Amino acid sequence: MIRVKSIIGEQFIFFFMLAFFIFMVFASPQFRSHYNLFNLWLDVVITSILGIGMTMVIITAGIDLSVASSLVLSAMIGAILMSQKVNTLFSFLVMLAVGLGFGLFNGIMISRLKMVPFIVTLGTLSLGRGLAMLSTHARSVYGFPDIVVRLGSGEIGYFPVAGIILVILYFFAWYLLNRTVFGRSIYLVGSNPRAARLSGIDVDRMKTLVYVLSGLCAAFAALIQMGRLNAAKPNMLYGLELDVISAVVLGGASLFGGKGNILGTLWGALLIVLIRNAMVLFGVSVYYHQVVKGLVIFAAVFIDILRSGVLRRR
Amino acid sequence: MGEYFLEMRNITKTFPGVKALKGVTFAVQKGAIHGLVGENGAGKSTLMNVLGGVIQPDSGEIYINGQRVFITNPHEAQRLGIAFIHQETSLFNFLSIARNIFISNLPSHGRGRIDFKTLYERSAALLKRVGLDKDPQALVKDLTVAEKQMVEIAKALSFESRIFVLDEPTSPLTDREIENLFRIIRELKNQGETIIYISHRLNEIFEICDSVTVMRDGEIVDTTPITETNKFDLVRKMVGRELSMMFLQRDHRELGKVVLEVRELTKKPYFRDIHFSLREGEILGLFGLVGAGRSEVARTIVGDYRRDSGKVILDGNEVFFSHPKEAIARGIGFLTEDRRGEGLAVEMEVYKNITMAIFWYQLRRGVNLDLGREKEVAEEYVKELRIVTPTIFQQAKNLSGGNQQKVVVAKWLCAQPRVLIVDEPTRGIDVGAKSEIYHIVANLAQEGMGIIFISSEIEEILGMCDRVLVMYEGELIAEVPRQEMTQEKIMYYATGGERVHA
Repeated sequence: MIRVKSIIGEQFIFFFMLAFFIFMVFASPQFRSHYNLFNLWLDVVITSILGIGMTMVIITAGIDLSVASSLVLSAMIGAILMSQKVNTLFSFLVMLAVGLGFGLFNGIMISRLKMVPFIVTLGTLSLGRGLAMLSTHARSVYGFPDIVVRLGSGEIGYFPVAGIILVILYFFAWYLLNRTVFGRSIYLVGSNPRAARLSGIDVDRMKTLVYVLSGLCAAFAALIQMGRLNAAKPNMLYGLELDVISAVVLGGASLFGGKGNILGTLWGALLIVLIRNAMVLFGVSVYYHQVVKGLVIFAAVFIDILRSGVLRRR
Repeated sequence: MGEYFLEMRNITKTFPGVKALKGVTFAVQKGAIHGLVGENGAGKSTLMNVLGGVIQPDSGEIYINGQRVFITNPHEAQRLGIAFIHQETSLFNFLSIARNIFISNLPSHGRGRIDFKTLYERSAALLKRVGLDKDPQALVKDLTVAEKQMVEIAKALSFESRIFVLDEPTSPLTDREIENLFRIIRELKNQGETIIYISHRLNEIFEICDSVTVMRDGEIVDTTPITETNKFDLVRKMVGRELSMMFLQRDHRELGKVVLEVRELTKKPYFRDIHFSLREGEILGLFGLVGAGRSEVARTIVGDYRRDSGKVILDGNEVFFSHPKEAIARGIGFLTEDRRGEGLAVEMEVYKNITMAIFWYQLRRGVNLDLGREKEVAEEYVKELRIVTPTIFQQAKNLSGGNQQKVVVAKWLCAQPRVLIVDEPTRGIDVGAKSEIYHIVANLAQEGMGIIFISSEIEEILGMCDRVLVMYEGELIAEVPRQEMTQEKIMYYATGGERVHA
């Protein structure tokens, strides 16, 4: 029982997502097709990888609005390098360095200079997108080595390569959060930073680290995004950070910190992608997509609030 | 005289585990300045919070001018003319003085447009009444603390308040500012207003009050005209309970070598030139009233605050901690007074709280956390300290105050420090748990740990400590060895001692 609980993340959101999935399986023959399921899995990858870093950031009571921007900037830089036939591994390392740089900048501003996470990352959001636009004067870059394309859209047997990478990354993230001293530290930092500091936890360093991890996740996601499109466009994935935050919150994390689990984020990201997919399949006008997504977020969070009994305690 | 303007009858209030007010009857005459004194935790604040509508009593009645009133919320208190002036003001820094004074009843032309002319005229008049020579349009952020207090009083006057409660108003003020404040208080009195004056500084009570009420353990001990009492009498009434049997009967403990030494430690504005040493096996009391700077000394020793100057010497070597983690690594633990704010992660499980200070050091295997060992350690301490919890997986917030405190104690015990600083370790917990905490601390000392015991309950200090240091306004004012400790003596020093009598 305990094991099952820990796998589904003790989250209501898992059942919500599962129910929706089963409903779709019965409601739509197209949904059941291998082609659709395969693409669903791919769709969820980018949001979920960013969700790993975001979950850790939100557990420390922070927020990282810059994830989509640092993804795009790191993709643009990687794309320029690769289209110039620079060594692929080296290009990827540069991408990681870009993500790390963004994360480090956010982290230091927030932990050492005590700036508000929302504002700092709002700044880097704008900065990253702007630099990405500047990098090619808003032109797209095409044509990457085979390996990159295979990472983004290839398959092994029935499974998408990117989907498998996602599963591996989630395993590592789960391990990091639940089995390591770092994971424990960030929960404590988010739950009560004063107590954490006085108990010998280096709160500033932990905070910096979560933003760095978030930046690295963005760089990783950038590589997969490049492979998926076989292109890098400076205007891609606008507003994705909001989807990521929604996924994390749907997954049961608290913006006040101290609470959140990585699997919940995965289910949250899946739910968002499922809803989008369902509306496409049912031919709902694209204008309604955002509205429905908003309503679902309200509904899920509201039910979660009811369950936690916050309202009853008043 | 003889007629009471404010009467609070048989007020009782119980918090989880603590009876804060036990049928208190408190009455103040019209046009009087009435002092209210008592140790920390005696119930003064609770009583005043009842008067201010901040908390609701379990039972009891309140009368103002002979009329029964029901103060259900702070607005109602304000409407009834009860004004609070705290040491920390509640003004809006970036609004003008005038707007602050009339914050909740701005004069208007109707339809929400502010009548600035009336606003500034009336503000100027009020400022004149409290003797503050400032432009009503000036921003509050540019005022001194004393001036802000004047604005608070002006604000209170704007509501046509009839009862002014001043809670430790003088602690942030200079002598001259205090004189000015007293002048205004006396003026208010002459205008027939009623004033309740709460202070730890007994000398002030004698200077300004007409009568005084002493509270202790949630009860009124005595109310007398000021002329019929003296400082020693008041102190005796404030502390005067029998030493209970809660403390271990202590043998003549052998003290070991000096383990911690503090020299001329200074951190402005909290404390200056603190100088003491601590031996192995010794329980060194650190007594003082709220704001005396005791906790800040502890925080500076463990590296939570950065010191201005001075030395901390551990085992003969000078140490400089820039973060509490370094203090922990060198064997100094610090149990804070604010359990929920700084001791526990209340949303997290008991076992995670117990291992909070050691998991990084003792439970780390590479990057991994040894979860199996962690739970063993937690179980061990839950058993040893008899922490009442269904399982170690219970969230800390669901435990009683006493058990929460034991969790924090467990956190520091498993770190096995050589020096443990405990700050108000028994605050807000019931008698049984208190006694257990005392025994735990005494046993630790017996085993050779050096303990600094910070408390504002004299009884604890007397029962526990081998020696006590008394702080007053950031200075070490006296050191009293066990043989010479009496409640009166300690309280006498803590309220200023000779320093003010001279």
